[in-house]
Amino acid sequence: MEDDAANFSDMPVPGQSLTGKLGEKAYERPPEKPTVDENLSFYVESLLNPEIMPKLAANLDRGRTVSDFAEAVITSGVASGRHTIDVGVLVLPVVMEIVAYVGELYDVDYDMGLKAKSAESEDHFMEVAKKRMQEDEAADFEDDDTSAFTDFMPEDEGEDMPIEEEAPDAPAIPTTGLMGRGV
Amino acid sequence: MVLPVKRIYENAVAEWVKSKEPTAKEPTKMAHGGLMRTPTKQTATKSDSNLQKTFAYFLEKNVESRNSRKSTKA
Repeated sequence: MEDDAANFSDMPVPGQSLTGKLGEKAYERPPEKPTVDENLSFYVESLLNPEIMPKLAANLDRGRTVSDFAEAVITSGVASGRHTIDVGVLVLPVVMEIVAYVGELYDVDYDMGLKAKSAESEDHFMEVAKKRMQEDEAADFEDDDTSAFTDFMPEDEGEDMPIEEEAPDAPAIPTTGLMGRGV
Repeated sequence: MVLPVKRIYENAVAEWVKSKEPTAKEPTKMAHGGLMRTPTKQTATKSDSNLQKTFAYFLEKNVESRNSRKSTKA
């Protein structure tokens, strides 16, 4: 029993793995390549590497879309601390075109991944989420009936409420004696 | 998808299309005989131009090869 208690105190606190000192993660530190130009040349060189190109083309041939590939490349660049998300967004269209260019070189019938398969996925998921939240809020507002709250509130029972009586007159202060006040 | 890739890409393409449109207009002749200066755009930074040039280079290459592929298929 005592051993269990001792082990329990040594156990990690729930959520401990989710915390860390600021700057421990690569993306919390200043980026390795802060400028757009540096990242541009890095991506051009690395994606047009003769060893990488066949693998890239094979990925496209297997049905992976250009946009998915480019996004994965950019997000991994941010996660590894290579560049910031802002620079990543700027470089993303170029990365997409380079990936498409590799597909063209290898004569792959690639998909850019820009056409939505359903009307809902046409929008960005954040917008879809926002729309849903707004709809939910509107629905909540319509359902907002005060009787829902009054059901839980006690009825005003005025009869049982004690009524404060006025305090009786204060006793007369003696005017004589040592502590007596002179009127 | 975490990033709004479609929008980012479409914006970049729209920028490229805009940049292809002729911007330098002939200065208009005013009634008093002088020339009206055309409004100048904010000058792009060096990294911006490199980015746009690289994007335009690959985009034009891809469009060319896509078109040629279509023509060979047809």
